[in-house]
Amino acid sequence: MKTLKRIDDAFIAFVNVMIFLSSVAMSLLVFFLIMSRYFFGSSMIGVLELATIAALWLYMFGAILSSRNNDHLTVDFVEKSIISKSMRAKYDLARSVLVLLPAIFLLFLAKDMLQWGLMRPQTTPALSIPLLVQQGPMIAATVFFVAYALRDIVRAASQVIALRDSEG
Amino acid sequence: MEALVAITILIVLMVFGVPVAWSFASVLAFLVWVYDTNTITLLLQGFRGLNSVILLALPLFVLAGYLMQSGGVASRLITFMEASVRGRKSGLGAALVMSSGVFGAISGTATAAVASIGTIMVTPLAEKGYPRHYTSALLGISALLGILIPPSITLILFGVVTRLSITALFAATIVPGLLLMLGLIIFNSIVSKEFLKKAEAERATVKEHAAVSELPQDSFWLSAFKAIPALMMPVIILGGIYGGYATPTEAASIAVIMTVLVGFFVYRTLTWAKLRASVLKAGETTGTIILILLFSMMIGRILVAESIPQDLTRAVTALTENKIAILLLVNVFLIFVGMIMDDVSVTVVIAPLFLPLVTSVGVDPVHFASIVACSVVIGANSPPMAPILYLACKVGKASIHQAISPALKLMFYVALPVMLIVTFVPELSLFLPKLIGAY
Amino acid sequence: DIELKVTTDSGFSDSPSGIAIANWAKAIEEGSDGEIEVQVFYQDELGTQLEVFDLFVAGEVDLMLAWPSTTYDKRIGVVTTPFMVSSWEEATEALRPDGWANSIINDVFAGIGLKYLGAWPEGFAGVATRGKYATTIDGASDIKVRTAPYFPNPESLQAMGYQTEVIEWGETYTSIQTGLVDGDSGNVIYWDYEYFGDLLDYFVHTKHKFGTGSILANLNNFEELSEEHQALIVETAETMMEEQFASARAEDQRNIERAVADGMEYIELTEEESAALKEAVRTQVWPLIEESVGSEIMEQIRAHAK
Ligand code: NA
Ligand code: NA
Repeated sequence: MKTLKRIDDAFIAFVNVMIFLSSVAMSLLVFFLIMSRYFFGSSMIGVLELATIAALWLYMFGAILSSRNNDHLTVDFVEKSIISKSMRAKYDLARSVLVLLPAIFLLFLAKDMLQWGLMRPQTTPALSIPLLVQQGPMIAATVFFVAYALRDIVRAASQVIALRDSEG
Repeated sequence: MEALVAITILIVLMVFGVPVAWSFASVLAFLVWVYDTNTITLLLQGFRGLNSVILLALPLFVLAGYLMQSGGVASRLITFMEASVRGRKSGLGAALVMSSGVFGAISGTATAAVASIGTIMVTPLAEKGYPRHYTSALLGISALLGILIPPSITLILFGVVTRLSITALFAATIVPGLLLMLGLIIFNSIVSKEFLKKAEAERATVKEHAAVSELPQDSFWLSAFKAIPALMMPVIILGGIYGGYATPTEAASIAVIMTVLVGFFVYRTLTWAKLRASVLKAGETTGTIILILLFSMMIGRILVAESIPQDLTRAVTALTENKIAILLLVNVFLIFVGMIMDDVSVTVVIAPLFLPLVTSVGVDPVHFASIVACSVVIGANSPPMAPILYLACKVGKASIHQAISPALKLMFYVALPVMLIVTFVPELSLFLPKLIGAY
Repeated sequence: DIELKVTTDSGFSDSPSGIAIANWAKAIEEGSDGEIEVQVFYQDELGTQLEVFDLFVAGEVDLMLAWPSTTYDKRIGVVTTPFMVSSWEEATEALRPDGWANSIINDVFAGIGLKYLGAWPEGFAGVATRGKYATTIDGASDIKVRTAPYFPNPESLQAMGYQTEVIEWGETYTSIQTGLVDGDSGNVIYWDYEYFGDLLDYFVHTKHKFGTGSILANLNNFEELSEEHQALIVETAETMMEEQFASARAEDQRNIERAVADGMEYIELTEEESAALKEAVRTQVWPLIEESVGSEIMEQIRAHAK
């Protein structure tokens, strides 16, 4: 468990760096576009494409971070109305399972996208950057969505078991 | 039929507490199953939707919003607003409304407005005698002025999904936004009279409790001077877009760069640690919105391929082809789904389904965007799913339970009438886009 | 019964391309004596331009009238190589079923699993501007036009002396209105007149690009059909192409007249002006195209282009 925690900490440090870098790159590239218009007359063709790549990376690393921190937009209506500790643990377990199922579905969609991308490779229109460079973070993110859903299930299940043991 | 089941699943999962994004993903899985959709290129389609230059404005404005909060732009604006209404009895409430309007306008998000304005203003308001639950409700609805006054994340999302011009959408909601702002100020001046009088009477009896914490008490001119960089922000962003110097996406990057420069070198309140924290927080917020958008786009594709919006249009127009009746119906429906769904979901999933219907009876799509934005203002504050109201209560340290009553009054007396006026007077939304030639 | 899906990425049910695919569908259904049923999907009904093409390449759609992007294969760009053809006669000669460009294009599309059935021409592109216009490279230097983000559109316009700005179609109107750009480029007059006619004053018929859609079939799905049905698809596509060659030229002329009647000034280049642009684009842009399509294809184009 401790090793897992250490791996997660290191990974999130990496995610943070990626979010920071992609945000900075995205902002500066778009800003550079405006500047280049005034200094060179024409805006450079590939700049927007690079900015979009930075944004796509930002989207997915941001989504990974919010999954890890359980910071997704949620209606906490039912959650707030549960007082009993053991009910709460069971509720958390049920909810984690309801996240895991669609996360696994998304993982399969990502597998399809990857297979299709390998069979019919595509590139970006201006700079001919492989589309998989843009899709990479999305495909990777689906793996982490499943991983964090499993983590939540394990946490909630052990809580359920612990509470049952202490009661029984 | 399948669509009805899908909506039921969505609502049940959401209300149960499954994160919105994953509730959508479950609905997507359900639709793929019932319609036997081929999944080879399904995620690729969602990816195509995210791979958009126009959508780039969203992460940029979210980032700008967080940076303005930590970089001192928001607090300078509030001080200035407070100074300009000082002396009037209901002034502080009006300052809260106006600050939210201006700040929401430049940051693009309602949450940024709630967090920054709320943190700074709720306590001084409470000490002046404004009940915390009232302030939180007022804050919640004022923050949504940011949806109407450009730039607006909600309108960017709507434009991306419906492929309408972002510039035109931005111009369309300015007048409705000002109307809502005026309505809120008037409402506040009427309602606050009562509790301000009571507070004054109490204060007279407890003379020793005079040490009231105050906002920074700069003179009007000093606060105005300090607020110049902050006040320039909307001028530069909107001037950039409508003056032909920048696209909305580019204007968003100007907002980011300017906020960083002003925060570091003019106000000197921005630090590396704050910058880092803001960027990460913005990234996380963007990630949550984008994930919802990703699933919504794939759901939208399937629904369109199965001609659900067309069926909906046919079913409703079979009942009535009266434009006013249909618009009222759509209004009611949007408010209803707004009660159970968040603003992003309503904007990207539900509203686009109605676009073919309303355009078929002659409603202008840009006008419809304006109607949707007004309904989102109401929806985001109507329980059980009222993310902005809840955030406002959290920031204002008020009980959600108590805040619901003033929130409902604000909606009934101000937001709802504004929505109806906007719905039935299209020119309010259309004359500005036409005037500046954006539409 | 066999069910086929036909679609287009550009054109609603009442537009020329929409009507064309509807007619094609009808011709196939009738020609097969009802053995084939064809479902028609117009622009946006199955998704955006790129998404529809994804579905098509994946075989979810069988037949398509496409203006494909070059994301699957840059060589697809050869279809609209700038200054490859300069007149309707040259275009017909190059693109007709046994024309010299036909086999090149078929090879390119076969590379991504598509069968090329013919061209669906729109006409020659131009530069539409507001306030000022140019007919020479020097004259264009202070004019900024919007281009589509695909190679070699910006490169061609830059070779012709213009400043370029890549702007999404949906933001183009506002961008012209606010002065971010002075106009649009690379489209036949129909689009500039229909969409931005109230803003634009001039249409300079540079003819740097011959705008054409491509009539295509998904190769896998095509080969699964009986030989008789395959022949039917090829024949009906040929008819569709011939009809469009006959009507596009007249249609383009009609659109020019419509625009002029509505106050737009239509400018044709002199032979010298045209030759100067052609020379500039061929020397500056063709080597770039050669990099992406290979010298073999480019040699064939050089050998045939006049
Ligand atoms: Na705003
Ligand atoms: Na709500």
